[in-house]
Order: sequence, then structure tokens, then C-alpha cells
Amino acid sequence: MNKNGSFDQFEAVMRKAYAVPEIRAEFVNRVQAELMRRADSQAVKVARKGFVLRFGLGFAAVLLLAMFFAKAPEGQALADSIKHFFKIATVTEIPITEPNLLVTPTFASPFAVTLVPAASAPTEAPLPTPEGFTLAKTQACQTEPYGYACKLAWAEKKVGYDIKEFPADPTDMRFEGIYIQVNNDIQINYERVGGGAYLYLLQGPGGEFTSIGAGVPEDSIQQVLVGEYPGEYVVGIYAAKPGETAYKWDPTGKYSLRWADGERWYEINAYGCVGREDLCSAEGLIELALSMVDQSVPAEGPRADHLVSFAEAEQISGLSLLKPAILPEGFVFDYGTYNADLKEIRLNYHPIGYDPGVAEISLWQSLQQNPGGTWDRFTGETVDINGQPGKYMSNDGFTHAVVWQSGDLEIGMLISSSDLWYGGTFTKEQVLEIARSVQ
Amino acid sequence: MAESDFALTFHPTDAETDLTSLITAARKDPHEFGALYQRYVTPVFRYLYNRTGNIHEAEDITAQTFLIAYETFNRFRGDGHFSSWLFGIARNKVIDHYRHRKFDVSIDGTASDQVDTDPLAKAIHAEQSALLAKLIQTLNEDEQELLRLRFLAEMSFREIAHLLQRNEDAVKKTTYRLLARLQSQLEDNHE
Repeated sequence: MNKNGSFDQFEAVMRKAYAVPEIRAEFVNRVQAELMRRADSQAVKVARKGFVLRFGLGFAAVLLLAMFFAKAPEGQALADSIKHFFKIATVTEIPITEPNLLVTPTFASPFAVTLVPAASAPTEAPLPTPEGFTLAKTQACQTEPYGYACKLAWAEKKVGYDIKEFPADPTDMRFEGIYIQVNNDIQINYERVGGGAYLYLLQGPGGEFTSIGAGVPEDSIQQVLVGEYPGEYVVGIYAAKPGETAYKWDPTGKYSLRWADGERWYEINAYGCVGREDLCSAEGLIELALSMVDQSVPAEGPRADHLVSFAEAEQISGLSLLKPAILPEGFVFDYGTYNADLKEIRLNYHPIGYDPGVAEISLWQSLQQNPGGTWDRFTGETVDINGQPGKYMSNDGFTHAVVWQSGDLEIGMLISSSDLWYGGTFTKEQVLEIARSVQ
Repeated sequence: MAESDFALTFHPTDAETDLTSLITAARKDPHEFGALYQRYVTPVFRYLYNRTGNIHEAEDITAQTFLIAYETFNRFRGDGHFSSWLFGIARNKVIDHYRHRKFDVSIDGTASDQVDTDPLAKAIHAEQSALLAKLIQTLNEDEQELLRLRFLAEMSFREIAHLLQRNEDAVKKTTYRLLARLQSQLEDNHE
């Protein structure tokens, strides 16, 4: 027997090895009947629709034109399309109604910060308990009552379906919150640690996308495949600058991927992309989409790109770290990071109620590179920090830096705040007072 | 052995042309979806039976797969990869099935139990098939899935590659290596 014949025989043996019983004819016929029943129903609907369209076409055309111009501006721009996952915008500009006109942002009122004893971040408000669901009894909520897993369990109970999720927080991103939208749709938000990039994962039951936003120009849609499922990718958003009276399509700034798997629709939106430029591409978002799982795997140990406590920072670095005893009023510990190459910890503090990056105190700590060495590699004014020499630099009231050493640690502190969005100013004395409280 | 010889085993070009005609007809008349159903219901059931090890569960998921495929057929665009699209739905339904059951058994374990304990299989299968079934169970899940898609779902290498998001040649080579390995192991056991 030749080799091909041998393999043919072997393939036949393979099929037998699976030991699958014959499919039952009664079952096959039952499903076939259900499919035909649905086909009959669909045909009736199509026929009725066709009749109504033909009968009223002349009158409806006039009525629709009138409605088109009478409706709200957002409605004027849109036309549903069954061919696309995205709504198709049919006009190039969307007028902005008077109350919604954007005004040029005014600078925040400047104020001098007040130093107070450092305090912990306030505890989050408890989650409302869905009917018949005791969060305290779930493992996720016992371990971390306000963490991702508990909030996810809460949301799943509320909407009644298992939410697809990323296997873990995307690199350099941290979980911000889970939101339940209309139609029991789910939105999970992530933001880049330190700001500058945002990632939103949306999903909902069925194959029809919830109508959010003002649609997109048809020629902005790129057909893609998300695994075996067709999807669409769009870059751009309708946006207006302050003072403009209409939103215009801006082919930058928002990166969107939509697809459906037959049971559910999905959408991932990326904004900003600072530090995660890879997410602002079709390939990046598709890779993220394909990584989605039914249940994420809890992270083991501290995340180097997002340390959530001082204890985690000490654990991952192996250092006995220092922290400030006083801070500007409203500032709390936000997160830490660890650079394994430099063996350097960075602790970040920011004011409650402001967006990431608006105002920040960053405290670097690492083992001395040159024990007993001088601070010649830094420029600035020589200052005394608890009996140790240090250097202080500042460009204005909004940016300050201090470096010094304490024991075997080299310490650096950078204070920055936005004059546009925060307004708080620091004096040199306040900066040094914070530095001297780091013990 | 020439690899292209095997590539012709399952779906010749005529069959693909025929499939395109069926899809085109189903787009025009939903009743024609019934022909697609008749063509794929057996491989889908065989694949799902192997994944679940239970006739009723396999039938239930088979029905769900085709009803979802029917309801979302207007979203299907890749005419050349209908099989990949359909089995993608079936695979997702299996995953959902195990998630909802909340059993602490893996898909591997369930499939293995089925082949070992199914009295029908023991009664009607030759010693060679039974031995091969055991050898298949020693493969890892990715390898088993490849063989399932090839021999139960009866998918072409191109369709498997599309479904698994892998290179077609890589899928072919992996399959042939698996077959050669299993055949060799089978012969060794007989000796």
C-alpha cells in the first residue's frame, strides 16, 4: 500500500475513534422546523414593511424631509444603516445649540496651598445591593469590598448576564469604574496610570448597538475581523473648539472598534494614547478584543506599574521607604510605580476630585548610587533637609523639585500643578517643609 | 507524502462553489438557510458531542448554534469562511455552557470520561479505535481541538486556520505531525 493510501486509511480510523453516535433525525427535523417558522415570520414582516413603504412613499418622503429639519441637531446628522455597526452621519457639520456652545476655558482661580498632616484617601461609598444579592457573601467582595472583582459581580447581578472582560488591567492602565447604561449595557472604564490615555469597554446583549454618539462618516469606517467575527474600526470624533458653532468631524482623537458575536455587541474606545500608542490602532484594539475572557485572572502580588499602597511599594522594592507626614490640603496617596531596572520607587500623591495629572507630588526613592557622594550632577540652590545637603529648583510657583539623601536612600520630589485646571501655588518654604517631613 | 494530497480530502473546490451559492440564496430568502443547516448540522453535532460528552447537551447547543447563526446571518460577511463563523459560534456556546454549569471539571476531563465510559463506544469499536481514542486523550487541548475540527467538524485547513487565527500551512503541518505521531504510536502498541 502506498503512503497516501495508508494515511487515508488512518484518517478513517481516526473518525471511528471519536465514537460519536448518529444524530437523531427527530432532533434535526425539530430544529429545521423552528428555523422555517422563523423564516416564515421574517418573510411576513418584510412583506408588510414593503407594502407600507409603497403605499405611503409619496407622503412619507415629504413628512420625513420636514422631520429631518425640525428634529434636534443631533438627530439631523444621523441615519441608521443596517450595513454598519456604526451609525452613519449624513451631514458634515452638526450645529451646536446655544446653551451647549463651548466657551474658552478660564484659568482656575489661583490660591496658595495649605499644608496639613497627611491623611488617607477617603473610603468609597458602599455599593447599593441588588435585590436578592448579598455582596458580602461573594468571595470577591470579602477580599476587596470596593475592588474590580466585587464591582463586576455587582454589575453582573444587576444586568443578569456574564460580562466579558479583559484578562487583567491592560498594561499601564488601571480600572476606573463599571457603569450600567440604558438597555442593561455595560461600560468598563480604564485610565492610564498618571493620565493621558483612556480606554472604555462597552457591551450589551443582542446584535444591535446602542445609539450613543453622533455617528461617523461612512468613509471613515474600516472593515476588520475580530477573530472570526466581522467588525468595524473608526478613527475620529465630531468635535468643536471653543467658540465654534458646529461640531465637525475630526479624524483623530478617538479610536473605536465595534463587533458582535451573535449574542452580544462590543465596543472598545481609546482616547489620548499617551504611553499606550499601540492601543490607538486597529491592530492594537483587535488584539485587546481577542484577549477578552469570561473571567479575569486576579493579579498575583503587586503590579509594578500600579502599586496601590505604601505597603505594596515596600514589598516590591524590598526597601524601607519613607513617606511625607504633611501634604497640601486635599492631597492623598494615589498610586506608586516601581522601576526594576533602576530599583526605584515612585510614590504619587494628588488632590481628590481632580483629573489625573492636574496636580501631583511625586516622590522618588532608590538606594544611593554614590554613597557619601555630592549632588554635583544636579543644578539648583543648595538646601538643608534634616541636616543633609540637598538641591532645590523651581521655574515658577507651579513646578518645584528637591533632591536629597536620607540614610542610604536617594530621594527626589517633584511638585507640579496646572495653572489652568488647578490653580494652587506652592512656596519654596512649603516645598522644603514637605521634604523635611519625609521620614 | 505530499501535503497537498491531504488538503483535497474534505472540501473540493466544487463544494466551496456550492457553499457560496447556498449563502447567496440564504441572503435572498431566509428559508434557504435550511440548506445550510442541513449541510452543517451533523458536523456541528459531532463536534459538540465530543466537547460535552452528552447527547442532550450536544443537541441543545447545536440548536442554539443554528438559531443564533440564523438570527445573525445578516452580520456574516466572509462568504468563504462560513464554517469558521459557524463553529466560532459553537465554540463560544460550549464555553458559555461550561461557565453556566459551574462545574469544577474541565472540558478535557469531561471528554475523556465520555470516551472511556461510553458503553456504546466500547461495544462497537475495534480495539484499534479504542486505543487511538486513548492516544488522542493524551494530546494537549490545542492538539485535540485541531483534530476535532478536522475529523468531527470536517473543516478544511483553510477554515481551521481562519477560525483559530493561524497560518494555514502551520495548521497543515501541525495536523500531519499529529497524525504521523498517532499512527506511529498506534503501530508501536500493536507490535
